[in-house]
Amino acid sequence: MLRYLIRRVLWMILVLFVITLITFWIFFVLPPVDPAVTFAGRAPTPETINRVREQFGLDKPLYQQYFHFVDAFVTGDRFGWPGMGYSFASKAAIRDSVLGRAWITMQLALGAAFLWLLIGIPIGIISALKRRTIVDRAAMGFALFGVSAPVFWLGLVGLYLFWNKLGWSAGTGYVPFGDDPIAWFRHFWLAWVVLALLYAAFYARLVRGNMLEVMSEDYIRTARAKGLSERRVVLKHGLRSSLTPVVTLFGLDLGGLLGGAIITESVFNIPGLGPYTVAAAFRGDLPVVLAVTLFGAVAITFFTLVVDVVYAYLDPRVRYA
Amino acid sequence: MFIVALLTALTLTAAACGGGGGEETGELGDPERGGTFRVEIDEFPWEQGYGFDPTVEYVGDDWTLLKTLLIRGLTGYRYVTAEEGGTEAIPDMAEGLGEFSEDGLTVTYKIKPGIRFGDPVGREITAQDFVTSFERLGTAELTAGGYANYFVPLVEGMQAFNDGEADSISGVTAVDDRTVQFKLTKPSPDWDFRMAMPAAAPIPEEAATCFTGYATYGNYLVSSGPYQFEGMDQVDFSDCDDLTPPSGFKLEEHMLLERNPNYDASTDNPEARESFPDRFEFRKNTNPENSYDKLARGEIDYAWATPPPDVIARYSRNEDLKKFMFQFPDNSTWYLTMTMTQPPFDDVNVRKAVNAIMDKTGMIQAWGGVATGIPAEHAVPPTVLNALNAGEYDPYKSENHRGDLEAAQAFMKESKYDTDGDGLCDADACKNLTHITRETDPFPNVAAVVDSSLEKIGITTRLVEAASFYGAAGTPAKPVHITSGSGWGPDWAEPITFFELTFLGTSISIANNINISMTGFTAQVAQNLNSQYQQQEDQELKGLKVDPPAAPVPGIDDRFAACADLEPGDERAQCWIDLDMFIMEEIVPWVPYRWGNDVDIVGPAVTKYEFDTFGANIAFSHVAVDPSKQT
Repeated sequence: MLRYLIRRVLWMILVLFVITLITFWIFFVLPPVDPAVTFAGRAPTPETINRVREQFGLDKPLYQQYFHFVDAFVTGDRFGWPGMGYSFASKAAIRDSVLGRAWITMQLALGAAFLWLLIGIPIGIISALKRRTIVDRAAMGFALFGVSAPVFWLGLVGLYLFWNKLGWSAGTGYVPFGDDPIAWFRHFWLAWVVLALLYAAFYARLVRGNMLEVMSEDYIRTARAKGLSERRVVLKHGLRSSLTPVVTLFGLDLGGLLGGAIITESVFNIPGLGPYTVAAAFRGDLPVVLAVTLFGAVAITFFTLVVDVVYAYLDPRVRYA
Repeated sequence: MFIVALLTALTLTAAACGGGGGEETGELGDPERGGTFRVEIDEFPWEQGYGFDPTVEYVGDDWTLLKTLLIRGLTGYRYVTAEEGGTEAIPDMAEGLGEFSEDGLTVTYKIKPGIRFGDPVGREITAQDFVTSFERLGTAELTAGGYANYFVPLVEGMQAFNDGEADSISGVTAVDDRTVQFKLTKPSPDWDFRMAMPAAAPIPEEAATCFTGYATYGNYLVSSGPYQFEGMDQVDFSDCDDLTPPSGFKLEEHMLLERNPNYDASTDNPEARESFPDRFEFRKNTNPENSYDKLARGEIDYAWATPPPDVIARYSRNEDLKKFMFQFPDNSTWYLTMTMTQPPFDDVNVRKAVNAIMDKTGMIQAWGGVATGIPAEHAVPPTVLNALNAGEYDPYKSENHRGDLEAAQAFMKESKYDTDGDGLCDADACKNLTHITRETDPFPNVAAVVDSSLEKIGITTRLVEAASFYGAAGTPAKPVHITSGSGWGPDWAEPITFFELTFLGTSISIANNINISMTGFTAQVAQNLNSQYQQQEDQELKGLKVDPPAAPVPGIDDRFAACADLEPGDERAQCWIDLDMFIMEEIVPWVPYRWGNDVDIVGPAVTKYEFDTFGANIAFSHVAVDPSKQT
């Protein structure tokens, strides 16, 4: 396992390198508009454009710009480690913004993830066990709703009902846990539910499908024949095998969400990575885009690694050399 | 001004907004000192790239914040409506407006005693602090994208300083601690207006030495006004490498203001600043609709985003809510440009036909309805010209501003691009024209109306929705045919700034060009541009080239210069009016379609509201809240 882990980490570094190279190429080599021109203001003189280019480091050869970016990320810059430079638009240090926002996005993502597993997996199990009953129909109806309802619509309706009318939610915004745990929860719970509903629906369908397949396997019949309780048959034998694709998907979903749940964060005014990145992309704020892309890539590759390790635990047939 | 950068306008057609709501500013209750004025905004204006640094900041909303709350200049405004005197320059830190020498080349100001900087500087403001701010303004590295061009050519020695050929600006001197004098290269009757701009405000040397990078000072701005960032008392400029921003200003999160402990209201003019609230909070809300919900509940006091049509309709129709909504002209003109170097727009008859056919009412509906503005009839808004009000002068009049096909066809028949005289543009040059618009709302919808109007006279387009409008449309070497993403407002209450960058041939720049129509484009201008392209380090820009025009494109440079040389007064005012009419009837580079409205809705706890015609925004220097009504 250790050798496997080392190999995967090295592979992860290679993947990150390729991602940064591609992202750098897309945004710095093929930009739709020269960032120096974008931030040089209206009717700039050639001197102004050249000056802005120099200030942003865009006057250096591309390979030097890339090397500087990677070097800063690995070793740090004047703003700290990892070094991400400063935003062309706001002049704020990107590191502080990204790390701060990533932490907030993580709270949103983890809370939603907990909920969608809590909702999706039991619904999937029950639906599989009660196949073709009213319970199954209702569960899959819920799944259809969850998959179909746009997140922004769910969010706006949720705010209208639970904040505006019932007062159960504190509405939009973010309060740090350390400042007021109750306010923190009251601000987050609706966003968790809205975000979780979509994923819960997917997971319910996935678990149902897997369970139906697994529960018809020979070893399940054997387990029953041995006299094991139905609960044990379902949870220990059936569910465990059904969860391997769920784990894979979970790792990817969580990693992806850590790049920013754009719509949910926008609707609920949660200062996470999502709207921050979108705004930067529209503005041509390339250092922000590059930094967040790299951060997202790290998150996804990391969680993919975690998923693979958990895989080995879940499925005894999987062994890594 | 103000490239009107914050565009959060609407796509939905407003349902009979009916122009309701208050048009009178004034008390909504008993304005009293105290409380916190809470604002939510969907995007902070300083995130446009200027970092809230007054030396370079060029976004109108930031000007409002700077001048009404944080910094004072030698001159300023009352930050009220035009009717209440909001367009007049008044003394601010100076005892009076500028004292001009007989030849108009020397202007002297006497600073009032007892005006102090906020924390951490704290000392009395002196004439030397204006020398510092002008040196900053004259430093080329610090002023990219700003408006240094309003000062550099005008102040003696400032160009040499800007070029690195002098260590100081000979034309700005601190005669003594309280007297600052400017020597000009030519008379500037509007000098008091220029001194009212944020870049001309004093900057303490103690801070300036730390901020030698572009747009870096804003996060540490030292106040000279009634408020300062919370936490400024903890900032220490003694070690520039170890600066920590004040807790009250996190560039991407919030701006929290507290009273400047060193501010003496007796040195200020209550007509300009009443400073009722003890604090201001500016926070971001990426869901503007939610901001308006919170506003209605009293959880905030002002939502700094264009109200959605349903909110406008609700406030317009409800007698109890009407008083909280205010609409004022924002002194802007939104317009289409037609590039006069590109067929078929090199023919003035085609440009006139486009003006005649355009469905301006439809375009305003695309913006969100009548609450957002009225059909523009000429280039400069009446509120800037102080003349030619709506209905008084419209050279391309049509019923309900819906366009006049007959009139348009009559113009088109005079054009060489109508080959068969049927009133339609049928030459190949009329087809598949490049039409650039912004990709953000409402511009795609506006563009759809434009294209629909153009089709009636035989012009078809290929629409491009650009993420960076001036990046796409403002490169003369990559000309486009027609654009529909432009808006302009004055930098001060005088038409001069409405013409300079938009219509002068000498203002055409190699990128982010505002004069997209290429008015006044001559062979000399082309030569200058090509020379500038060659100076570019970027290979892409370096390789660009503009073709000189076969004949000079009609322009206004000489007429503009003649108007600018006149002393303020009736003759000068009439000159601008005549220039506007000349542009509309003889040059015809634009189709002005909307004179904008600023719609402000305040919360139930607000007891006083004013509209600042200078910033075309709510006047924060005059607002008040009743904390007992806040939730």
